[in-house]
Amino acid sequence: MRRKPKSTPSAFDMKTLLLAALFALAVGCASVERKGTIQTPPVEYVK
Amino acid sequence: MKILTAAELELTCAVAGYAPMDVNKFSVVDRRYAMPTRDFLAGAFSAALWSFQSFFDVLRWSEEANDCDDFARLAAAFGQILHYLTPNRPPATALAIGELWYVQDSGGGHAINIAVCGPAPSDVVLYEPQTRQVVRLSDEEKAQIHAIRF
Repeated sequence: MRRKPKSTPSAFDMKTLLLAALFALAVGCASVERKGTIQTPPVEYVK
Repeated sequence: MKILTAAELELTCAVAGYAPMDVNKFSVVDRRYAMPTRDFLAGAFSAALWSFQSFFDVLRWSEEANDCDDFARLAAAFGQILHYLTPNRPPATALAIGELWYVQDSGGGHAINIAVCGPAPSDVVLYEPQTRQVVRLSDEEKAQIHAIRF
């Protein structure tokens, strides 16, 4: 019996992966917008 | 720019009365420390820490998951990030902001930050990262410090 050859992800798999990546990106961007920005002032050192 | 060695930093804290009962619980893990000014700690650092806590939605206390030790750890790590990002940062130095654990007069353990803002014992500052304010310990609380880490 011939084995099914191992192959690269099918078109369906690729589409699923792409959708998952886009979803993660959307969630990430949404949380960044909701929480504002982080201030990063330079440290003032004792001279 | 003034730099403290690890030994000088530990000695400064100890003379100021901040030393754990068990000397093995005083961890100073870097060799050299640059010191933030007291004004920076109370001003720009506090405002930036608020923005950092707000960004990650960790302003509210939560039992075990986001409690005093987590606030203290986050504040010390955030100070280190600002130090790393500062363009004129003295080379090969850490920032003298650490964590301190003690038993409160009211009972129960608590964790806050300790910062060395100068070479004199009076320059050692305690900082409450949950309110982002400089605080003091009573003599009894100083005697109940059980760990310090820089």
